[in-house]
Amino acid sequence: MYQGILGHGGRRYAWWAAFLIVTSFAVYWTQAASEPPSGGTWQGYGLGGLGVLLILWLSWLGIRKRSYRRASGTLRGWVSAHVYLGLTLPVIATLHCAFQFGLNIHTLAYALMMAVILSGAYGLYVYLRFPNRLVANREDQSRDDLLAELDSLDQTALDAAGQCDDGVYGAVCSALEMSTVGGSFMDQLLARDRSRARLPERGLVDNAQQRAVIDHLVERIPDTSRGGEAENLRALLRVFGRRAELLKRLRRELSLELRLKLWLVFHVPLTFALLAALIAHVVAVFFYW
Amino acid sequence: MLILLRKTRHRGNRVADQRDAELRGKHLTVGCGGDQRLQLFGDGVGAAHARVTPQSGGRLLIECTRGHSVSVDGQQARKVIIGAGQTARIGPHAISPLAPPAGFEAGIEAHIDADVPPSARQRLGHNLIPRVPGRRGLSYLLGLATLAVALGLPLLAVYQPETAEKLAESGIATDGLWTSGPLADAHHLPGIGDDCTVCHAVPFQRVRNQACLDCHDTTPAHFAQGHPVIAGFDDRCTSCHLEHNEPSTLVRQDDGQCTDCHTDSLQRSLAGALPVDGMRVDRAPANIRPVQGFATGEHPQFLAALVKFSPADGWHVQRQLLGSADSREASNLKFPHDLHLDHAKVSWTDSGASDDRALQCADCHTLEREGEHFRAVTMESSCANCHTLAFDDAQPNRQLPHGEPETLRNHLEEFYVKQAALSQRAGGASLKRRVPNVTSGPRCSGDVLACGERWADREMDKLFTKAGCVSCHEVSRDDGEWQVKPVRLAYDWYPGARFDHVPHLVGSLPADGNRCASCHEAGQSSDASDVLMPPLENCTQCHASTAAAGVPLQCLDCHSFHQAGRPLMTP
Repeated sequence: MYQGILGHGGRRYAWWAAFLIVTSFAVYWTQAASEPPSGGTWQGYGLGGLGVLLILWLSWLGIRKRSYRRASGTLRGWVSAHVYLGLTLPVIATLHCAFQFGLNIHTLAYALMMAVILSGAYGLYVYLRFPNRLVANREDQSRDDLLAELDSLDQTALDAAGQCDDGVYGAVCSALEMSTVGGSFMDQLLARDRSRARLPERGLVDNAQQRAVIDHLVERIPDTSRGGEAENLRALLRVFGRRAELLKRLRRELSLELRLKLWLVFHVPLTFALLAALIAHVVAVFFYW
Repeated sequence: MLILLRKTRHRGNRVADQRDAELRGKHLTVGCGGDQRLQLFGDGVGAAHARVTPQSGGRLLIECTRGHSVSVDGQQARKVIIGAGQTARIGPHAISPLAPPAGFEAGIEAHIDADVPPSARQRLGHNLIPRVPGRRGLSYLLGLATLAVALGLPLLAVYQPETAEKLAESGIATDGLWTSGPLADAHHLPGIGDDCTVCHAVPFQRVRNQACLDCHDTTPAHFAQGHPVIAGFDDRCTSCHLEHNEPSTLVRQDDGQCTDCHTDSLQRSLAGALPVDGMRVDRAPANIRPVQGFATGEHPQFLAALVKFSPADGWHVQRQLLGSADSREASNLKFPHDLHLDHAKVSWTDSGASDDRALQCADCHTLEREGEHFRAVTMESSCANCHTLAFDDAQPNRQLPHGEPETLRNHLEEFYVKQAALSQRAGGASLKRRVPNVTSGPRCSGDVLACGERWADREMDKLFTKAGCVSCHEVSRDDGEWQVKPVRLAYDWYPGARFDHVPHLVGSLPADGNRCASCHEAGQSSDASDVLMPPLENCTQCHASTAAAGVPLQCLDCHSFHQAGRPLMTP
């Protein structure tokens, strides 16, 4: 699917983009011998008009992708065109403005456009790379499978802990109850582990990677006296080792999913700002013609 | 508050196990979320389902979060107080007050259905959704903010100038944000550089000529009044004068602004030809030849302004192509440049120098400060250093008047009458001076006046036919009187063009010291009527329209669009 975006239709839109770039350069160079290149020559207006049409069409993807019954091409085709034609805009817009920049709304529109394109390029990167990383992270285990295994591990832990003394039981229960995934936005983004556990005599402690409870269980093994208690503790150790691994994968998956969508938080609002700046740019140019 | 929390796990009707825990705080949070103090799982249990707060008398206040409830005695309630013997059901589980043992201030018993397995999905569920910040609000906010700054503020300057002025005083830019590039330096003037509407007077209309002419009201146009081309010519100032460009050029530098029209041959309006140095132009080619650029074949041969004289019309100018048969100067002077530049024939010794040298162009021709034209060569400034106007060997300091032909005869008559008188006083003795055409010493034995007039006539004849005036001047004899024909040297050979000599004085100095000769072939000119202006081909040895072909030369490097003397530009 992701490779399909770039390879769609035999890279048809890559050829379109190449054609647009070559044509833009050809148009730009026709003005080099006549007068200082700028957005105010007929070539400049032409390149600017092309840029505006492209931006409007590229923005339309936000609407098109919500219309599942449209007959005008596949969504994959639209995205492929969106990517390739979007990447022509830095060239077209730079030639349109003829490398003239300043502290004004025209350069603001250019800067916003570049920000949109950069965020889009990052989006393309994560679309191409993150699905593979997600798949690798799951290790052939769906999220449902992973959660079911967690449930099973928790039940095993509770049953084993029920055979142990109150100290172990309380530590295990608290570790199960206070194991966290996600949390705040930054916790999700950075896959932070804010798990805690309440241990005898130590109270509430950090239990990242289930380390605290595992250490506590390890410390308890030499003190076992009741029959079978050591075996229960070893079973608990296996459970928490596995839990730590599963929770870590869950956090990593959550982080990847968040980053897979996060670029849109920049891409879409910046596109709105770009459209606003573009309106102002066009109005300004012709208002003070 | 120290609370005893008793967790009793039930499997069916039996108690699987029971554990006590101490809590410090005012209440107990209940739900399936990982952050809840009492985690319960199963259908009907929310992530943060309820908060249980011990009350006086061993009662419990149970407050459910939005969308959740507990069941007490078969009644659903979001907020309820239960006392001893009552239970509040949360999904498959229940909560009831517990009489606190000694040391505790409150007690809560949780009846947990142990057959409901722990659910990671329930515990983590709401945390398994990526917390992606909302885009819609941010999009609208950014879009509107951009519109306000990029469109609203500048429009204030147009429609609410007072408000814009106050904002500007606070350092908030308004329509300055719309500028597409810096103004040319010449326009950084108060009232112009800080007010867009001075030039952009009407919204959505291109800058009008009137905006320029408000200041540049003495700018001449390109055409003579009534020229037939005017009707079809777009003479908007902004066609050629571009603002807000980088680099700032202000004037178009390309040839297109000229060759757009001049690429075809255009009819010349002789009647509208501008005077040259105050002289009327009475002859010129009927058409302006086509121009495509500056190269041989692209640019016509130069059209020299030749000074002519006729008794009927006086001094006037004829425009002739260089190299044509008629391109001869008619200054009424005789001057062989080749003779004067030949060291073997003419030499000069500078003051304090031991050796003489050949004459150089700059000995006679002095460049004006503007670098294009030369000061007029005069007898007094250039020729008189070698050529004196002495006519009497005995009195070499006695000079004939120059440039005053009407007084010449009087001057000679006065001189020779005196000589005749002196001869008579000496008893008819021979004069020391040789009188013209008299081989022996002249004597005047008769009327002194007649002798003086006769001798003056002889001197006049000599000056106008053999040596003297006739050496340098064209002369004539009208009604028996010798006349020096009027003299006028061309000052501006190309009134429609400009040329700066100074940057062209480059390269190694020739052995004869005459750098000028690399363009002006004075050394091969034996006649003053030779036009020594270099032809087009001389310039195109170095210059071309494009940098690739030579030193680039644009039309405006030599020609001006606005020609002094033309009617003024119109709005």
